[in-house]
Amino acid sequence: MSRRHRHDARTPIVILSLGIVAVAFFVLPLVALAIRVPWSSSFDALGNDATIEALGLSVATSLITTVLAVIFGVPLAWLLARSNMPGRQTIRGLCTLSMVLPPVVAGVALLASLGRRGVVGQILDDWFGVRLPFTMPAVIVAQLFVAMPFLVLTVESGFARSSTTVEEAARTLGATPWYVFLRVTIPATRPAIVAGAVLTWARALGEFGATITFAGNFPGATRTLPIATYLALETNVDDALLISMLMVVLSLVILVALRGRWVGAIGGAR
Amino acid sequence: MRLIARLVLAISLLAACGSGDSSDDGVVVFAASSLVDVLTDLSADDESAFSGAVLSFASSASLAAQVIDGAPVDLIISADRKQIDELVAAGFGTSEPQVIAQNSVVIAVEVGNPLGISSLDDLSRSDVLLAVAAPGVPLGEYSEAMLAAANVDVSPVTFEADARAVLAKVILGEVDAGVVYATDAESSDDVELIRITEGDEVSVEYMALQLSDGSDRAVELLQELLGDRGQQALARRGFGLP
Amino acid sequence: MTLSVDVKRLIGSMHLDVSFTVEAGETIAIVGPNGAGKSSLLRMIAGLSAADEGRITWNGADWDDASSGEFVPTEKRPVSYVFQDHALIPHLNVLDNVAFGVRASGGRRRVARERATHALSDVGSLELADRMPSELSGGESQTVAIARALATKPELMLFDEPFAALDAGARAQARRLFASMSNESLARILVTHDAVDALTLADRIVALESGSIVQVGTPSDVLATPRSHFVAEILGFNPLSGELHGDQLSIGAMNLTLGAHEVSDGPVIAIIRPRSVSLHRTRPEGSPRNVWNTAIAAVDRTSDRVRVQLGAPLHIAVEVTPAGFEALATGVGEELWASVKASEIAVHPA
Repeated sequence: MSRRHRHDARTPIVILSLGIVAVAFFVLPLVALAIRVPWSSSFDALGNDATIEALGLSVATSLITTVLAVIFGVPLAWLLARSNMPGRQTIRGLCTLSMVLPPVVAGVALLASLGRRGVVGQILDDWFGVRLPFTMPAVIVAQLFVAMPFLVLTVESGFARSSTTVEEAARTLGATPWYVFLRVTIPATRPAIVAGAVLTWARALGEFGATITFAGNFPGATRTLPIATYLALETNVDDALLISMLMVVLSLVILVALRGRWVGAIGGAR
Repeated sequence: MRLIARLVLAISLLAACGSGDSSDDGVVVFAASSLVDVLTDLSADDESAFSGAVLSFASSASLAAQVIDGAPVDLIISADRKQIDELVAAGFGTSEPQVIAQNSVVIAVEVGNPLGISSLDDLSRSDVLLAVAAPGVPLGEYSEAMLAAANVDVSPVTFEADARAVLAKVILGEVDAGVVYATDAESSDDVELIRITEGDEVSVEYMALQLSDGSDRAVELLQELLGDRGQQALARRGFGLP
Repeated sequence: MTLSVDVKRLIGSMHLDVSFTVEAGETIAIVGPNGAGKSSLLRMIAGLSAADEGRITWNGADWDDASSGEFVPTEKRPVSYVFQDHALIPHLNVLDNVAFGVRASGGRRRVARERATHALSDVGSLELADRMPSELSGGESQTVAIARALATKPELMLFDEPFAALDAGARAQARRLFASMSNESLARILVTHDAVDALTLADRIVALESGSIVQVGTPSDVLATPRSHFVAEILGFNPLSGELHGDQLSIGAMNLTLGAHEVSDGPVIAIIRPRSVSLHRTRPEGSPRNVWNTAIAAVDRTSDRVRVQLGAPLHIAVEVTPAGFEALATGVGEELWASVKASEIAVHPA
């Protein structure tokens, strides 16, 4: 919109009206939530230890998930974007399938593989006495499984866009492929990596279905904020509303702190 | 532009109709998750009043919350008296609440019972991984009360959202034992059911509350549940009768 | 120091099959039309791709031997490569771009920056040191790319169409820089589709067509006996024998003023592109140099251009658009004025 007119002649009215409907669609539930929150009543639900514990667990696990997603996801994205390994399309499909699976299905799949009776989980238990389900690492595994594809896809398109000529120039200047990756490719792809990390973190923070299925619900170990919200809905709707509001504020603060420009890099427009 | 204005008008009119009255054709029943099998059995029977009814299953607490939020429901069946009491206190209900069935709380273990679990006391053994329902959902409340009354101190590895989730963890072998409703344990061939010894057992009453005014269909539904067809269906799925 | 190339590689459906050598101190131009395989050849020499058959050796040591599988990776070859689009690293400033090679080979930051400062001042662009690549003009970024390539002290430098992306002024400057870089211990390969660049900047020319070498020779040899269509076109570029004295070039009775160049006085071959000559009906105002009165000797019309052969004093061909020719409204025998910019005349020792 121009500074002179609210209805800029260049903005077609159809686009403007539909855009406003879309904005309302997103804003209305947030406003409604804010209205329904029992502000006047005490903030006990926020102050109580269980909520603080769930909040801490959510923040900690989602951040660890994001770090792990970057460590493993960036190399995977590079392989998908740059290598000519056979069956890349299939591998991409398999590695991002968990993004579109119903989270509960993802949780069941994790149990089938890493659960106590799972294909790998059984070996972990028999040989090392390691049992993943119902532990904090299980929360991270569940989050990583459903959230990492967001990073992989975003970073892959970043790698695909960054110039291979610049990388080749760096090679001719005496840089090894690893040095080129660290000093040329990664810095050039940084906006995509940050955008992917934000998406991954957001998805991990909100993860519910796969977590409660694979990691269960235990205060302090696996009860994340979304699970706490869901269970509060069963017992005390006011508490649920307050915790929901807490999640909204937390997410908003971080999205704003990251300034739209990082998130803007997701679509490729920098 | 005019076309769009008309479309918007049409859509808003349709939306207004929709929100006014939705019970014209389908009667809406909210029921506790543990009733899934019974009510699905009934609705598959063309002669049943449940045939054609809109069935919605969830935990009793979230169903009650939806009703309070204005969900257009004709009949609610809760696994816990508490929710029905809350609804009545909030002014809902067009008839007296009625008990339609009973259930009990049991221990579900893997088929063959490899750890030899036979009583509530065994649940406190350190080699037994235990799943229970979360405090707050009816099953969780019953389980907690039952264990407290029996003086058994347990440390579950997880507090699941409902009975089916507890059962799933037992079936998948992630836990050794789960405290569930008898009907849930009986619905699966993959678990074995350990009944609680007399004195410690908890009985669960399923209560129905009619919510809509003058809906013959809701009355019909309630009568069927209390009548032969309903009671037989409940018994087939392991429920006790009132 | 000798680079010896004898390789085959399938590129799409084209078979690249070439064999030649380059000595230290020598500049080779590889010329040919687009798609002749020039860049692919350069990439193999740099180690950015491998030969299907044959070998590339440097002083007798294998860089790439398809039969033994021996392959020295790019970073281990004393080669630097100047890309057509310059390929500066976008997130590093000019100084760090130039220092990159030394850093990548394990040099300390301070040493790398010193070397980079030297390299930048060698090409006369020290004032660009703090700028980001996005803030450079085409010519500036080309200069920086050359400084960056020099900073690693390469023994072999590869140039892929270094002048193609530049505007006329920057191009003349880049050519001068290229000519001034030549030294005894450096071998250079210049890939270009511009025959004039090849004639004036290289010691030897390798003419490539559809993956095969059609001619190798000194610029004089190639001018004397062109052996391919592409090289033959060079004849249309008006090679003229003359005598050079500073910036003055005498061709018979005619005197032309040249732009800056690196050629020493004496007999030279001058080249004027047909399209760089302008024709006028009256004496053009404001550009006193390189204007002469002449007459049309012949006219050759094709669908999209008109080739005008000029008579004495300079027997050269000029190309104009049909519309431009109509505006002159001239025919054979008619008098007119011709002019050419000093910077458009290329010279090369005869």
